[in-house]
Amino acid sequence: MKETILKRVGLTKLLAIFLLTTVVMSCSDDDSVANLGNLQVQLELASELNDISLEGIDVSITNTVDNATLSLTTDANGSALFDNIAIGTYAVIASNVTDDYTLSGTANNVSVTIQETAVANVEVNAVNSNGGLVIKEVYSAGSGYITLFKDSFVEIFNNSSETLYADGMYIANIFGDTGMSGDTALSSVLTDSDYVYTDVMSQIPGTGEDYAVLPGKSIVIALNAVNYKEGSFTPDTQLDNTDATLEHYSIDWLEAQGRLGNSFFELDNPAVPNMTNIYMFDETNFFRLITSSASVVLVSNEASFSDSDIVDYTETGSTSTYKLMKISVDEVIDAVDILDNSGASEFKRIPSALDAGFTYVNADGAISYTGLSSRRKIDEVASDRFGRTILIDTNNSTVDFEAIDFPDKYGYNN
Amino acid sequence: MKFKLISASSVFRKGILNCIMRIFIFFFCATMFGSNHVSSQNAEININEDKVVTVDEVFKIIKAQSSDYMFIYPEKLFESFPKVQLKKGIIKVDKLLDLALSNGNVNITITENNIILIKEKSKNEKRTRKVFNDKVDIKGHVFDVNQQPLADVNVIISDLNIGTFTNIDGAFSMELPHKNFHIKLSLIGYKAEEVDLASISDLSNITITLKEDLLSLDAVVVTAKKTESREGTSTYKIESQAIKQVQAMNLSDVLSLLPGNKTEQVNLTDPKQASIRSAVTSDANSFGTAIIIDGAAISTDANMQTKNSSSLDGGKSVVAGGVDLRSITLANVESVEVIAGVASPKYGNLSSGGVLVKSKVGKSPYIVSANVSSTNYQTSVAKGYELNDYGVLNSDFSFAYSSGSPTERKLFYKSFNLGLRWKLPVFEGLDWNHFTALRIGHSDDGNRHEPEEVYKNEADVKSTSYQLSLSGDFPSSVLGKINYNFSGSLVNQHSFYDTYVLDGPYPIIESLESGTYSTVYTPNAFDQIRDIKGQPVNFNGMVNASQYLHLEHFDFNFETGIQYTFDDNTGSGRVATGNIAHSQDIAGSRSTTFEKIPASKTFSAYHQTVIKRYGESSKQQLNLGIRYDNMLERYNLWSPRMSFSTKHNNFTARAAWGVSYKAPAMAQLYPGKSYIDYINFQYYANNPDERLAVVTTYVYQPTNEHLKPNYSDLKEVGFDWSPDFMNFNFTYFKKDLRRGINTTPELLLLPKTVYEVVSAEEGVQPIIEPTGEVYNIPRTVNVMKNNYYESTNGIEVTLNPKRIKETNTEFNFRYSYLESVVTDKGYSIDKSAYVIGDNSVRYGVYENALNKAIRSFGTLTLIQHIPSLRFVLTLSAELNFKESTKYIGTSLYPFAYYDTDGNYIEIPEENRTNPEFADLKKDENTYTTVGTPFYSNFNLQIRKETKQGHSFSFYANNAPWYNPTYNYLGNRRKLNNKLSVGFNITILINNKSNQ
Repeated sequence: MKETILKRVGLTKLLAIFLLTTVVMSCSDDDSVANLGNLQVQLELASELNDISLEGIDVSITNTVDNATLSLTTDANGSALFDNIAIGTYAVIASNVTDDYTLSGTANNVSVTIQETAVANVEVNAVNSNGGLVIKEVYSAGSGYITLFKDSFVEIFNNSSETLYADGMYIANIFGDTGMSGDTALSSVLTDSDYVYTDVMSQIPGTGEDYAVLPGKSIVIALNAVNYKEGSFTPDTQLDNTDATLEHYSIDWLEAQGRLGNSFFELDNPAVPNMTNIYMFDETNFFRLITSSASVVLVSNEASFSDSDIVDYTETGSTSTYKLMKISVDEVIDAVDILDNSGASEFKRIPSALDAGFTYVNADGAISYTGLSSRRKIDEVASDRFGRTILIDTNNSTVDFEAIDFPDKYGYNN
Repeated sequence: MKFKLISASSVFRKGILNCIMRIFIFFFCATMFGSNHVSSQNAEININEDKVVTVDEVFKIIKAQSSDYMFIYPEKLFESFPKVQLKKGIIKVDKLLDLALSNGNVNITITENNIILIKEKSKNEKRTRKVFNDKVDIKGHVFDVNQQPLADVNVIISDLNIGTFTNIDGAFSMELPHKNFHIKLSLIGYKAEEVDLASISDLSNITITLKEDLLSLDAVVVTAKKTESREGTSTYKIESQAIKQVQAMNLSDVLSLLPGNKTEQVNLTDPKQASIRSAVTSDANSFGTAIIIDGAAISTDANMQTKNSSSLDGGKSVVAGGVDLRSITLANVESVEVIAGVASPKYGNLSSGGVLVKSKVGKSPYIVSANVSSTNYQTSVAKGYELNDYGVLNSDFSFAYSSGSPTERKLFYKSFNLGLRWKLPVFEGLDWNHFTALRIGHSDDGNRHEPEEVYKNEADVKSTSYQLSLSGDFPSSVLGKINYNFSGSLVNQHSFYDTYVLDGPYPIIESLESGTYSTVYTPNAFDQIRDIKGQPVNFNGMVNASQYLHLEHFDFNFETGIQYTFDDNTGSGRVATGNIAHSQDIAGSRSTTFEKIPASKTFSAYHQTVIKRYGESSKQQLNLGIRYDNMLERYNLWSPRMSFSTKHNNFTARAAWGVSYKAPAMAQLYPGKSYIDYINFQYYANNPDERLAVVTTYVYQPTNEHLKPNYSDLKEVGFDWSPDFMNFNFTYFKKDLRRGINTTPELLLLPKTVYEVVSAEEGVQPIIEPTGEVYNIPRTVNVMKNNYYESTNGIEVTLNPKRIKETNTEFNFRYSYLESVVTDKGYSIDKSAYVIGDNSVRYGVYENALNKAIRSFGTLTLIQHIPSLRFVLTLSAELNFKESTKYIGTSLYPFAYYDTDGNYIEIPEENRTNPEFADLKKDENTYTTVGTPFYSNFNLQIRKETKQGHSFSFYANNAPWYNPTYNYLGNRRKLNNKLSVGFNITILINNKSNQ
């Protein structure tokens, strides 16, 4: 892109010199005041933004009468002077794309009068390029023996500056061993890296605008919206999940299918809506997430699943077969691969296209009941720049995620 | 003979049981009558002074003092007889007649009316009489090497099933029909001896010396010996030296000496069950193995200690799986005899052989023994007291402790056993041996709750048993030898399971009745306790009589007995608290009582005729037996048992066939209710006061009275070849176990009513109402059926080359090939492997596959014995030729399915593989053949004795620490246990050899 822009600038300069020469020649010929004016475009950064350079921004002006367009790039002060341009009304567009953000600003109905220098102050806004919904936290280690893994949750964060709706999106637990000793790498059995494979998947209910995620805010999908501080001897070490946005409940769903519903880890808080159950291979897997180190994907609401998406998974040396649902990587919005320990790279369960790395909560494994949680880091630069919390999303969880000692539910919301 | 009095028609007309009882009542009247009769025949004659008289005068003296007798004989028969010297005193008639006629060539017949017929013998008759018809009185003395008399030596003529004990002077006497017998002499602490009477010239003064059973002897037997036994075919005897050599802590350790059994790593924290002649381990098979201690069978039929009635899971208590061998300690055991083949009809209520444990009798020093291995500790002390006029008392006490793992204290096992066995001469002069035995055993088995362990699953399974048995034998003139054994046992069982359930909150539902209930929730975590108190009571009474008849070249031995067993459980039952059954998929169980369960009673009678023929160089034996059992007051079962063997020189061929039955366990007949709970509605609000759950309980009451005793049919043929240089035994057998009890799943469809909230006010439970929608939800229950079939073909070989005398080296090879085909005649149910979206699962119905297991296993043992050092070493190579399991006749596809409405829909054969049933197809590798390649394991046992008889021994199982691996479905699997070692020290205190 940059190269193209440069080329374009070069061409414009040539054209400008040619025009200027022509005008000078014509002036000298007529020796009268020409119908020309100047337009100084001064870019101004929107108030909440910081640390965004206004130099070198493409500014183009368009004459509203003849649609003639002129372009310049801004100087170090963020200004660009269009001189000796035809008088009239112009629309000004400033735009620039970098790896981190997209910058844009417009000013309309800017009048350029004869032999005057009109100043157009254009407020430019910037949008971070890592926007959209991201997985902010995956907590499945369990915060104590009594609570077991009952307090696990997944938190979805809006990295964009706009309100987004999570309705219809899927949360899927990615199946596979986590890299403990004796484990089998999922990829050694299921080799097609165009898919990820799940044994438990549920869907956010709603018809389009029911589950709003405000910019810089998150929603929490809990296993159970239960207050585990209740009756606990050490309430500080426990979570109160009654503030979850959504929870899971599958007894009725399983039994309506003719399967065994079981109150094991299944509680229905009437105040918290339930996720829609989509797929559950093993009806005793009420944890939803692999305990301790769960890899999770957020799947587009446009995805749909059928019998033909079921694949068999049989480990070498095993006589038992798992029936897994495959999910095309194209339908995955965000993914994080969380494994048992720092040396578990060969057990990656999510293809590199979605997550180039992996993360873990404890370098040595042994995670159960530690309360450790995997949280996405804040992109400090972007957050400063845009004045709201923005999380790193490089599609590499090694970079993007960190282990924290205790879950930080809604921790970025304030 | 007396059986003929009752015609076959009357048998069937009046009822078999009735008839048989009558036979035995008749028999017992006859015994009493017979005994009176004897006293008459053996009237005492008073001789007032020493005198010498003629035979005719002797008769006059007898007639003068006892008018009962009439003598019939040819005149002048006694003219040529020498005169008889009579001594002053009292003499019995028979002795007096013996004295008077001993030097003459006459035949005496005493009729029932005390008419004594005397006639001269032909020359031919005289020869026959010498060999066969003359009763032989044998008298002898038993001494130790220091010429001290040995008391309480058991002197047995096993061919005649009779025996006696030596008195305090070491003397014994017996009356035998002829002298072609072997007598066996055994005494605690001494090496058993066998004497061929035919080779002894003076039978009235046999002198036998028993040597102490020490390693300084030339030959010791440290392996299981294949023996010929009255108790059954294919019997293996394990004697004290062998028990010492394996450092047995309990009965299961010595069973490793049988062909086909391996040396297991000693671990006392798991129950041990017997498995005889089967390539698979199954409760049905173990349950059918009788464990009989000194003639009294240990019954576990009334063990009801199940945690969950629907699964019969007894936890640490073996329910419907036979005797836990850990409870049989060996501190006072002389020998263990294992009947692998057809058991004598004396033994019933079994279907897979028996283990006979014989206790020691006789004076002994304190034998203090300690076994130590990495996780197990056992000490025992045994002592035999000579009480002179009051017989002999043997006592033993043992204590065992095990911690399951060297690094963890989670598991524990503790047990102590006290045994007292008192042999009391009942009547002086009468050859009546009576034993009173009392055994008290206590075991405590469980899981500790470690303080740092948050998961709490405490288990404490205690069992205290008291067994009293009265047994003995005495001779009777008409019925021959009478044996009796009355034993009663009472076991106090207490199983306690305390689990801290962490996966709450659960809706609380502990209802004992079917219905739909509103309820609240448990806390996050709560205690779940199951407290099961059982008290099995067993009574077992057995009386048998054996007679002997000798005709020409044949010996007949008849044994007839009756038996009655009674099993009941008078325990209070199971108390379950916090037992919220909806915790798992399986049906749960709640509190219940055992009181209303009827007792299990078995009346049995049996007869066995043993016919032996003696030829010049051959010998035949035919055992014909029949056993009748009236089991559970409703099954009349006949079990023929027979065997035949023929011996020519050193080659014996044998064949046997037997049928046996094993009654179902009470826990199988009356397992109690199962509870199935399902949740209709859940409302787990933030405010605890608002919380509500609606739960339905369905009570499933199994009716298992239809369960039949299982049936076992064993056929075997074999030969023994014992030339000078070796001993070779070969047996082929086919054992069919039919109608064993196992579980078959059945589908239940239960209506689930859907509820909805009508109104919810703050601070109170919401008001709910059924929506009117009801749908059926499926649940499976396990139903017990006589569906287990196991058919085993097998070969057993033992090979003992002759001991190399020069070096005292011996080899022993035992081998067994077992091929068991196990069938479950039921079917299995499995639901769809996956469901997508709003579809419903179906329940596929599948044929059960046949499971064919093969075990080909041999043990080669090198026994190096150095008598001068009192040292013996055994090195065993366990050769696992093949161990495999494969499935036969398997189909991955169902033959039918149930839809969610419970409709049974058959799937035509051609459609089963259609994609529409893909969700019902079993996993591709469900029926994977599992097999190991050839591998070996080496065990080492050494033992050293001191001059005083103290011994020290050491074992190392898997001594080279060899763990071969093999490829299993692409994975490496390890074979053999890790190296394990153990020590034993046995000290004799007050042993006369150390004095």
